Amino acid sequence: MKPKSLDNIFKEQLGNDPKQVDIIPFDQERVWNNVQKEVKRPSISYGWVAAIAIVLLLSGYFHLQQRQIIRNQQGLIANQSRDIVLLNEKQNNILANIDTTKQVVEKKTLIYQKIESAPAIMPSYKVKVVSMMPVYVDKPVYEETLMAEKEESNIEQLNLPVYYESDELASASQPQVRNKSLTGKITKMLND
Amino acid sequence: MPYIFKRNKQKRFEALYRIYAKNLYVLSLRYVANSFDAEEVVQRAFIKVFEKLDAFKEENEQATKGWLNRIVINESLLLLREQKRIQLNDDTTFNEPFTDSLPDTDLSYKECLSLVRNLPDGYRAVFNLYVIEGYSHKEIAVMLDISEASSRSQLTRARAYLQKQIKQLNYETEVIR
Repeated sequence: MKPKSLDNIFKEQLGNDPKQVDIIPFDQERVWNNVQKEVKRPSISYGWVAAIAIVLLLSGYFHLQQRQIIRNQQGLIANQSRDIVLLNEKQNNILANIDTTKQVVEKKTLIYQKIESAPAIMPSYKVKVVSMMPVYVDKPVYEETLMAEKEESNIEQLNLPVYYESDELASASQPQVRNKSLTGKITKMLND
Repeated sequence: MPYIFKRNKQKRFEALYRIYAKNLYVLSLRYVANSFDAEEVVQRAFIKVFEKLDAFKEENEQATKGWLNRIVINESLLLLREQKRIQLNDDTTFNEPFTDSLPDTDLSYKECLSLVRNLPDGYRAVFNLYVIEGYSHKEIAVMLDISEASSRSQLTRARAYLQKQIKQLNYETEVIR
């Protein structure tokens, strides 16, 4: 009898559909439960797909946002360029004005310097010259005059009719005055 | 996905599991180091099956079995790679003569499985793929990312290792008798 080859022995025993698998213990239910747990768990690949989709959506959104921002900034830059041009124009105008002002100031300064250096001219008002002769009075006379003025001021004023010699002259020339002097005479007579 | 299709898919999936899970578990036991890893492989494989079930057309049982076996083998190799258990040196210097014949030996299923599982990870993978699954060295080289020569070398080593183990087992059996 030809001995069996090693390969044949193993192939016969362990090859397709081994008949004695039942002698090998295997907890089929436990493994099945584990498999079910894994199968019912949301697949990682779905998670990856979802994550990638979210990343793509977010990146797309941010890309659009960025484009919008860039567009806005470009608009602002254009506005600023326009403003810069306008400002340059204004600046040139202002500089031109400053030059003019400077010239004016220089002119004024020149005029002022000229005025300062010129001799002062007094305003020519009309002057009326009054020539009065000085009156010299002696000191005793002057003192006496002062005393008299003082005494006069102290004298009480009497409410008496006063008759002046000049009234006679007046009455001679004017009837009113004459009447006045006549009245004075009558009053004097009655008093006497 | 509409509920009715989802329900249909769930039913198909459960049917596949009930029919093939045990055999696939035993298949993965031949590749990985222990029963926990084998369960992990079956679990991963059926998750993959569920993901790809819509694309798969169940034409006949043989095709379904082949598809499921392929998934389990790939998952087993992947787990071994993750655990860095497969350390296949691109070693082609193995020249020890190997005689493919054994003395009259009657190995049981359990003994065969035990012997294969006791092989070093690299030997085990190549031996399973070549001898039991029937892949060529070219295919194995692609699957394990090694050269064809290396695959041949690993197979020779695996055979020698098994022969040694079987001889020892026979000796022990005779001694017990």
